[in-house]
Formats: sequence, structure tokens, C-alpha cells
Amino acid sequence: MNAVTKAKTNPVMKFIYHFASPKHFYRISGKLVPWFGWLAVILLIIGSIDGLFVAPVDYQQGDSYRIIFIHVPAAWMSMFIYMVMAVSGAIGLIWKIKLADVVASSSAPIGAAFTFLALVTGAIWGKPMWGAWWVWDARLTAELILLFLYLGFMALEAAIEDPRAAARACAILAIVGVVNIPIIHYSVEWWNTLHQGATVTKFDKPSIHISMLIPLLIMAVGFKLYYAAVVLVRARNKVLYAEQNNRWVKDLVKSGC
Amino acid sequence: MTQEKNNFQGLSVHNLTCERGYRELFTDLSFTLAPGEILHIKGENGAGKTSLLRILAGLALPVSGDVFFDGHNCRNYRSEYNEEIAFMGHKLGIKLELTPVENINSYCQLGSPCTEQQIMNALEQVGLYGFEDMYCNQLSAGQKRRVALAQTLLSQAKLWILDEPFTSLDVIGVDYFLTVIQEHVCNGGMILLTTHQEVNLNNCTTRYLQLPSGKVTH
Amino acid sequence: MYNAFFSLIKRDLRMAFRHKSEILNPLFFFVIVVTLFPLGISPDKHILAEIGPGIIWVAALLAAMLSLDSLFRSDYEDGTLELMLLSEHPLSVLVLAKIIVHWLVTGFPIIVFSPLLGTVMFLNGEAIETLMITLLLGTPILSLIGAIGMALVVALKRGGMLLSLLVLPLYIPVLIFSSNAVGSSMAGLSISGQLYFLAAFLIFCITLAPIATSAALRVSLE
Repeated sequence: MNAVTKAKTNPVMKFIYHFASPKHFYRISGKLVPWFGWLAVILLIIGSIDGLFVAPVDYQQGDSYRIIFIHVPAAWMSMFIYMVMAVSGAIGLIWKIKLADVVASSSAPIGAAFTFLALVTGAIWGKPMWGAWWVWDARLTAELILLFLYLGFMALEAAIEDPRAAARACAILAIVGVVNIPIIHYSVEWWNTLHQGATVTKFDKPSIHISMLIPLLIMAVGFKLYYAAVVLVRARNKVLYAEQNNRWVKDLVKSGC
Repeated sequence: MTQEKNNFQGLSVHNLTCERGYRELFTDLSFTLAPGEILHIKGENGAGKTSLLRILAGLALPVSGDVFFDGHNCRNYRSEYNEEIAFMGHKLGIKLELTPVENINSYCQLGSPCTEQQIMNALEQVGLYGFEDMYCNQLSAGQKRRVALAQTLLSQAKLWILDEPFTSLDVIGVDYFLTVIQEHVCNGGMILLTTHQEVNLNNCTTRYLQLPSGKVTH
Repeated sequence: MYNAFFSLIKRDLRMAFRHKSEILNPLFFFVIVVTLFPLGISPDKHILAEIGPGIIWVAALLAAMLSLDSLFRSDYEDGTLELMLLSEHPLSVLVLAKIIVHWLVTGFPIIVFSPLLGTVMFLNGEAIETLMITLLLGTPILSLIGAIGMALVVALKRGGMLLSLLVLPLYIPVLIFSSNAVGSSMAGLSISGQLYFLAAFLIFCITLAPIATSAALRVSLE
């Protein structure tokens, strides 16, 4: 609480508060969205072509390994977005920046979608590898639990009527979740090694050839940019809705854009 | 907040804005409350009377604005501020499974502990003598209200925040309450209250705050 | 502060003993759930001994979760929670007092009854001993983490289902290490690693969960 008054006198924070004001955010993000969006499209196309056609065939797994170009970036995103939610939730709690709350709540469905994508691609990959759609692999299981955490976040947000209270409750939940994620991961991995013995998990590549790494990284950056574009679009909508009673929104609606 | 009584500055509220959902209830509300004063908050249903009281008690956060108690921002001195206020909301904070004495005792333990004798005196003062060992689920709504009043009496708080305090009290109960209020104010206390009844107290300064306009009248 | 802490413990214990169902219902639930599994799967001794640790722990988990409602619900409804928030003492200390009582009332009876259930699931003596130790370390964690979830949903009318969504994923590490410890001691393996983990996690939760819970309560009561 004290942080707010203190921060408002600090010139750096003043600038941040200014930028984070809904009106400025709306204006600037409007310019950023097409850049992020188009860059994401270009990178995803390049990465897919490179990954699906150019990268060499894996000597063990054949062509079926190529799903990692979707699966791995999606799994990275699922973790990354939860981190973003917790950090922006904490910022919203401490400095009372509304925009941070908006970013956290806009991110949740996207993160859940990436988690779901990682699970589905993992299952599809598992079919030729293990001969079953689902195995209780450590990473898949951890990913599934992460999906539960996302669903809990969204369910809590939907259940609380007052938007400000919902944002703050969700921020606390995200922080508690982020603290717990390493513990959950550790315990799931420990559980898995115990039950699976020495079988090498297919997701655990000891090393990856550079010709496979490049498309993987291109895809990862593409996914990040896609997330940036989508989260900004969602956040812009939420900002407009939250500020519906303010002058600048009314002017915007009147001017017809 | 350990200053001498004679330069105690009371409560001052600066530019309070409160929203419910995306609707603004009141904006830029400012007023002061000096020791020995009653502020009666008036307004139609939904004007934000309860919301205002909850903000002033520190239970809810305003969208913007600050509350100062004796010159200190209440946000930064939460525990000290809590020592100075007594809050009586729609929910009384009475456990039905406990007797009035047990209820008051556990209330006092949250703030300043009090003796059995003090509790009995307070119960007598609100007209509950003889009910002290009954479970509260056997008491009527008005009697529970009186237990809450006895709690407030023992709190040693300077500022009482009372949300519809006369609900379900009978004429005698209201009289008890008014006497207690008058005594508190005469001893330099302050009272913020909402009620639909007229409060007429002799030799007490009563002011009225109209919501949502925020105009203060005598 | 100590006064407030202990008087709150005393008050809550007194109320729990006036409402005996609060103590007995989670216990009955625990026993019934465990009883369902032999009926649903098989009364075979080897099968039950194999799945017993997991089943007893899952039942304890569910019993702990379903009993969370008594932690803050009635305080919220009658307004005593507001008075706690307005106390001059740190809310996290008061919250810890409530959690301790909740554990004494719902977790402790489960520990006392667990040897009985271990026996009907054909666990050997050593495994039953481990079961009791893991319950002793684990059930307080369930109350502590559950308190955060309960504080988040206390103001919602239909929070029960939501609560399980929020809390159960966070219970997973406790389930994994505890039931595994019981299984391992059945097989005569060392279990110190699992117990150290549980103890560390318990200390971690005692330190942080009351703070998170009080922050959540302030949001819920706004």
C-alpha cells in the first residue's frame, strides 16, 4: 500500500504508471499488435517448413519426432505464461497497477490452451513411441497438473463477481501456484523414476543436433510473439470494457473505431 | 498515535472514490471528523453508505483516496488504527454456540483484554443482566445486537463505526444505545453511523453527510 | 499477541466440542471411503496391501478437503472474521491459530483411527507405523494449504466444487511422498528421504501459508 505512494514519487515508476494508464496502453498496444502478429506468422511458417522438411530424420524415431517442433515450444509456453501470470499478479497486488491484473487474466486461457496443446501433441507422439495414447510420463503428468492449475485459476476468476476482487484473488492463487510448481515437478519426477525404473523418457533428449535446434528455436520465438499479439488483443478488449465509463472510451466509440 | 489528547486531530478523509463493479458510487469524497462529533451518513439504498463505512474501517480498499487518523495514513498504520476503531456491521460477530460472556471475552482478546467484572458491567449496562450464561442462539435478534453493543462498549476505541446499529432493537434498546453513544461522544469519542432513524442527541455535535454528493450539513 | 492466539484456539476448540459432528463427520467419511475400495475392487489380501497406502491417503486427502468448510465459513457468516481482520494483532497469527484447531479437530482423529484402517487393508506393523508418521507430518500440510483455498472461496455461495479444483492439485506432492513412504516401508525399504521431504514441506507451509491465507481473506472480505 505504502509502495503505491512511494512509487508515484519515483520518476522511473512515474513513467511506468503513465505508460500503464489504460488510455496509453490502448494506444501503444494498438500499434504493437500487427507487428507481433505478422512476425509470429512469418516465424511460424519458416519454422514449420524448416522443422517438417529441412531438418534431418531422427535415426531412432524416424519422422514422428517432428512433432517436437510444436510440442516442446508449447510446453515451454505453458510454463512461461504461468510465470507471467504470477509476476503480473504480484505487480497488480503490490503497486495496484490495473493493467497488470488485465494481463494476468488475459493470459490464463492462452496458457491453458498451450498446456492443452502440449498434452495433445505429447499423447500423439506417445502413440508411435510407446504404443499407447497416454503413459504416466513425468513431464506429461506435470503438464496435466499444470492444466489443472490453469483451470482452477480460470474457475476462480469466473466465480468472483467483482472484477477487482477477482483479479486480486487470482493473483494470490497464481503466486501460490508458482511457488508450488517446482515442488510438484520435483515430486512427480521422483515418483516417475521410482515406478518406471531406468526406462529413458523420450522427451529427455540428451543432446539435439543444431539442424533440429534452429527450427525449434524459431518456433519457440514464433510462439512467444503469437502469445504477445493475442494477449495484447485480449487485454485491449478488457481495458475497453473496464474503462467503459471513462471519457476517452466514449470518445473512441463515438469516433467509430 | 500516542499523542496527547488535546492535540488529537481526529479523522480526515481525502478524495475517496469508490466503485462497485464498473459503476462509481461516489467520487472525491472529503470530510473530517473531530473528537466529540457524530457524523450521520445519509443516502438512498445503494448510495454506498455501507461501502464507505467498510472503506473507513479498512475492510475494503477505495479506488483512490486516503484516510488519515490523527494525521497518519491508516494504510501504513493498520494495526495501530485497528486499535482505535470499533466496527459494528450488518453481521454482528456473535457466535451462536457461545454465551454472551464468552463472546465478549473472545472479542476483547482480539484487542484489549478485559476482566470478567467489566464484561458483567457492560452486559448490565445494555440490559442483558441475567442472560450472561445463555447460549446466544437462544437470544433474540435484538438481544444479540445488545451483546454487540456491549462489545463495542468495552473496546476502548476512539472511533466507532456503526452500520445500521438500531436494526431489530426495541425502543428501550435504542435508548440504551443512544445513552452509550452520548457518553462516548462526551468523552471525546467519535462516531460514524448510518441509520434511517433520526438521531437527536442533546449537547452533541451531529453533522450529516449526504451520499453520493458528499455534502456535509449541520 | 500470545493472548489473542491462545484465546482463539481455546474458543474454537470449545465450539468444536459443542458441535461434535464437526469432529466426527470427517472421520466417518474417511472410514467409509476406505471401506468402499475392498468392495469395489477385491477383498484379496495382496491387492489390498498393494493399493492400501494410496487409498488411505487419498481418503485422508478428501476428508481434509471436505472439512475445510468449517475453517472459515461460519466465521464469515456471523461476522467474526471481520472482527479478526480488524484486530490489532497480525491476521496471519490468528489464522494460524484457526488452522491449528482445524487440524486438531479433523486431522488428529484421522491419525488416531489410521492403524485400524491399515489393519483392514492388510498393511504390516511397520507400514502402519509409517502411515501414522506420514499422516502426522502430512495432514497439517493439508490444513495449511487448504486454508489458502478456503480463504479464496469463503465469500462465494457455491465454493465447494471450486475449492477442490484449487486445492487438490496442490495436495499432489503430499500424496506422492506419503503413500510412497508407506509402500516402501511395507517392502522394507528406507523411508527417511520421503519423511525429510514431508517435514521440510510442512515447515515451508507453516511459514508461508498463514500469510497467503490472510492476504486471501482480506481480498475475500472486501
